[in-house]
Amino acid sequence: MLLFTLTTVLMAAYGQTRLDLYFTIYLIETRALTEIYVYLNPKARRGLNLVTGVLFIGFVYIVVFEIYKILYG
Amino acid sequence: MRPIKNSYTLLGAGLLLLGTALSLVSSFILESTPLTALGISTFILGTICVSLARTRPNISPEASIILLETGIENTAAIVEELGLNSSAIYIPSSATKEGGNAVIPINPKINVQIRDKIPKRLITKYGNADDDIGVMVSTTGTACLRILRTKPGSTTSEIEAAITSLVSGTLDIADNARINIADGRAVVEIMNPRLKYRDTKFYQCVGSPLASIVATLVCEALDKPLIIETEKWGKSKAVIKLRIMD
Repeated sequence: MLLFTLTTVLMAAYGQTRLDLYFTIYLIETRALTEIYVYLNPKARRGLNLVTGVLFIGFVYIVVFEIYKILYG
Repeated sequence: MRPIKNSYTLLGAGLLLLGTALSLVSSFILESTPLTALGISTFILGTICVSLARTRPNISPEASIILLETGIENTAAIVEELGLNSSAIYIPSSATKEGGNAVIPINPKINVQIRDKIPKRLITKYGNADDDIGVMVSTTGTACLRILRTKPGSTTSEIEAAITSLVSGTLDIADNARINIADGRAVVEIMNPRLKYRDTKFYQCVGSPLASIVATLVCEALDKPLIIETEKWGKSKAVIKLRIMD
């Protein structure tokens, strides 16, 4: 929670207005924190992998949307 | 509708609701990207809390302690009543039907030749000599072996990973483990153990629950019987020395 809040505050302080960039950074942080706790209980790992998977689908949507904007204006 | 009792689920649901509301309000009314991002991060935290809620154990730590201590007291009573004072020999599953068992010899010996197949009985013959008779007991390691899905590998790094995964990840009774195997001995260091050591006859005989878990894992990984030689408990570290038998 602290990490997410700190990230949001820092990026807002730098005047960042792109929502997709915020989302991408959150995804990277979620994935990094999940990987750090490699020795988690298997159920916990499965749950967190599911959350990361869903976030990754959101990331893929952002990438596809950006590609579409580049190709078709 | 069943009331939600799990506090993680309640927290997660609250964060999900707050995150959704904040994102929508910030996006459509306030038109503020940082606040919308904060709402999204709150939503992500809510989903993490809800997914972790399912991993909470069904029984409380207090109930687990009651079950553990009852089992230990029963076994300790048998050991004391029979007057056993020799170190237990941990036997791999290749010699018994189920791994994690230990045999407490009635007559302590230094060099023992363990049989290939040891009958799984309370009073059992574990060696080739006529007086190689002992009491077979289940240990905390026996139950822990059932938690592990695969047999640990025999290399030092694989054993270390298996012990760390069990004590730190699954059981959460220590921070991590280090192992060094040389000259027929294994020295295992457990960092910040959370189970306490008691200087009782039973612990001297069979080993503390933590030492028992470590001994069982090493025994199973190496597929060789072993004995817990010594246990040294400090403030932040427990050092367990195992003697590997042929």
